[in-house]
Order: sequence, then structure tokens, then C-alpha cells
Amino acid sequence: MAENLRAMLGDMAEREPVEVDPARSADYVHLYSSAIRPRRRARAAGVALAGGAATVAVVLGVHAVTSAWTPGPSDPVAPATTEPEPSPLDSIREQDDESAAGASLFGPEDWAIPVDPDASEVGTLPLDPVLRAAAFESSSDSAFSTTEQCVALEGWDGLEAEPSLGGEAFTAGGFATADGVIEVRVRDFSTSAAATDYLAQAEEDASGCAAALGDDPVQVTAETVALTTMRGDGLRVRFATGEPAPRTVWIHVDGTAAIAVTVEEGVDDRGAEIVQDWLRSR
Amino acid sequence: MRSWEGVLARLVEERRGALVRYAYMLTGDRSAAEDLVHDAIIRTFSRARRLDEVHGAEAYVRRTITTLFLNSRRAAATARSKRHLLLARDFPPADEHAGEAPAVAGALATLTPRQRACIVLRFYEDLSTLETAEQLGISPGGVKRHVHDAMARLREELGDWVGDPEAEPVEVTPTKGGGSWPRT
Repeated sequence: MAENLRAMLGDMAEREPVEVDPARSADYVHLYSSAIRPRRRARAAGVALAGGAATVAVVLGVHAVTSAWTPGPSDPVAPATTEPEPSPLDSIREQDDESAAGASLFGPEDWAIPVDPDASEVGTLPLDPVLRAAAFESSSDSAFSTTEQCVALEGWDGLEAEPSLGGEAFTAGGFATADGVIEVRVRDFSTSAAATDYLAQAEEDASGCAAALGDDPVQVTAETVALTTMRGDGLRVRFATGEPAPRTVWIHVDGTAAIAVTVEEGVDDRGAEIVQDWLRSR
Repeated sequence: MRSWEGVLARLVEERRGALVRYAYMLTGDRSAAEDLVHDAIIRTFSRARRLDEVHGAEAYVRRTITTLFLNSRRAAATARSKRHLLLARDFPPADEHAGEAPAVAGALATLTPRQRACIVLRFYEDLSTLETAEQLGISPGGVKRHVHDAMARLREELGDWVGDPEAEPVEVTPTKGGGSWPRT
């Protein structure tokens, strides 16, 4: 049966004549190189092709671990963010505008973030489609791995839990920083209510995990988050083990779409900036 | 010549045909496939990662082709809109499956982009369920579900040409009474 399907697909592919003329190959190489060179130069010069390092003001509604999530409008919105300056590479980006129109779920086209958000003349970190964040590992003296709500967090954080709410989680890729990876996952729920419900359940389990751990070596905190002037609702969960920077997961929903940003332990938390880039591209 | 340029030249010369065929299997349209490969190569080589050998670069480009295809409503819409053209094409038969090619192309065009990507990766690229899941960034269970749904759809379109390639063999355990039906 499988062989039959393979044969049919192979036959279909072979019937599409694909030119392999070496003379034309040189033309293609020239064409591609002409498009690639300025982009590589721009990246080397530290110009982000997508988005900008706009100021991010985060309004946190820190919930007591026993408090319940209330779906609905986010916490009060802080003053406006600064608008990103027009990129000097707008002319290059125009080439991709048409495809960018359909790219909202996976983030901006050629998504890249500055290496250092506080510096202007730095390189950028492009979203690499093959990068994944490492799974969270608690120490042997922690109750994390034996606490049901904590174990469930892995599914919530990856947007994989509750398949009945529709959509499927995809990895958009990861940003490789000097200290580790920041992974981005996305999911398109069947309805806005389903997306909000997902966030509420994730917060409930995260808060439950935090309460259950008490003075465990792993400290979990769950906070509802609203990004300045940005649509949607968000949740930030931190897993602190004594490292300088805790593992942090941001989940943000906007309508039916959701993004989860996982920042590995020890990595600068760029979650708000990444969520903001994603929201701008939608 | 910089190292990435050497790799690019080799990739185009040696692997561009295979990349266009792969993209064609996803989109069902030659022109959309060329566009997809063009975008994927530029994107991959524009990023400041080390690209010092062709196989690694090709893997990145393939991954990018898949992501762009899944990510682009335009590519998916193109694939669907070309269905009638694919069905109408008249290829001269060359082997036992030859007459099926246009029908297969038409049937693939009825799948969702994710279902189609799963079918192409599993049965054209010959990846395992796990490898397909890794390529698409979804769970192995998600791949199985997409393949199952896609096969149901392909059977509707192609009838007996396609069976269920991932059907699990059913074990029949004899009961004490010798009957094979469950008791109620």
C-alpha cells in the first residue's frame, strides 16, 4: 500500500521537468547572490530586517498563587510605545511584502532580533527554524517532576495541551543567543474563546504548581501580563532554580492565535520583545 | 569567493532540481515551486549562520521551503486553484503508474497544507513519523493524525489506488469460547 503511494508520488515528481542546465545554474547563482549579499551586509552591520527594538513597557498583574484567572480585558494599558524607525532596508523588504501578508502566525518575515537590545550598533539574531529550547530539568531534591500540575506545564508551555480547543502547535524556530536558545511556538485555536480558555487553564495549573512546590528548590511564579498598547492577553511563568536568570515562558493570545516564547535558563529574557514583534506582524 | 558563495554555487548546480521537485510536490504548481525555492535559498543564505557544506545547507533550505509553504496562504491557495489544470493535463503513460499522475496531483490539491506536507515528507521524502514531526515542529501524534485524515481524503479521490499505508495490523486473540467477536 505504502509502496503504491510512494510510486505514485515519485511518478508525479518525475513528470515535472526540472531544468538542470549548467549554464542556467550560473544565472541562478548570480541572481541569488545579488539578493543575498546586501542582506548579509545589513545583518553584519546590525540592522534588524524585521521589527525594531521598541520600548516595551510591561504591566504585570501579579496574581497570588491561589487567585483565579479572570478572562477578559487585560490590565490597564501603559503609555504608548515608541514607533520603530523606518528601516533603511525597506526597499529590500518590499520584495517579500506579498508573502509577508500570509505569514502572521509564524511571525515577521526574516524575523531577527538585535543581539543586544540596549545597543544600537550590534548584530542581529535571526530566527532559526531548526532551533529548539532544551526541556526544563529540575534537581533530584525537587518535587517538581512528581507534582502533577508542574509536569502538565510542559504541555501548556508548548501550546500542546487541550487539543480539543482546536489548532495545532508548531515550532516557528528559535533565536540562538550567546547563553542559550529562545524558542518560539505558535498555535491557531478554533475560536477566540478557546484561546482565552487555554490561557486561563495554563495559568491555573501554573499557579497550582507554584502553590504545591512551597519552599521547593524550584520556585515557580505565574503572572498575567499585558504588553503596552498591544492587543491580547498574556501569561508569564518563571522557573527559578538559583541561576542568575530563570527559565521563562511567555504565552500570549490575540484572537484565535497564540504564541509561546520559551527562554532557557541563564538567557536574557527577550520574551516581551519577541511577543511584541509577533503582534506587530499580525 | 566567500565560503557561503561556494556552497550556494554547488547547491544550485547539484541540488536545485531536487529542491524544485520537493517544492512542486508541496505546491502542485511549478511556478509556485520555483518561487518557494527562490525565497528559501535567499532566506537561508542571508542569515549569518555557518553554511560550509552543501548537505547542511540543503537541509536548511528544505526546512525553510516547508515552513514557507505552511506559512503562506498564497502558496496553499495557488495549489488549490491549480487543481483543475492538473486534472486536465495529459501525460503520456510510461509505466504502470503513469496514468495516475494527474489524478494524484489533483487529489493532493484537495488536502490541507499540513496534510499535504505530512504525505510528501512521509511518502515522497521517505522520512519516518518521528523525522516528519521534527521537520514540521509538531508531535508524532499530530503527524499520524494528519496522515490518517489525508489518506481518507486521498481514498475518496483515488479509490483503490491508495490503501492505508499506516494501518496497524489488527491482532486477533482467540477467546476461550473460540469466538472472535467481543461479548456484550
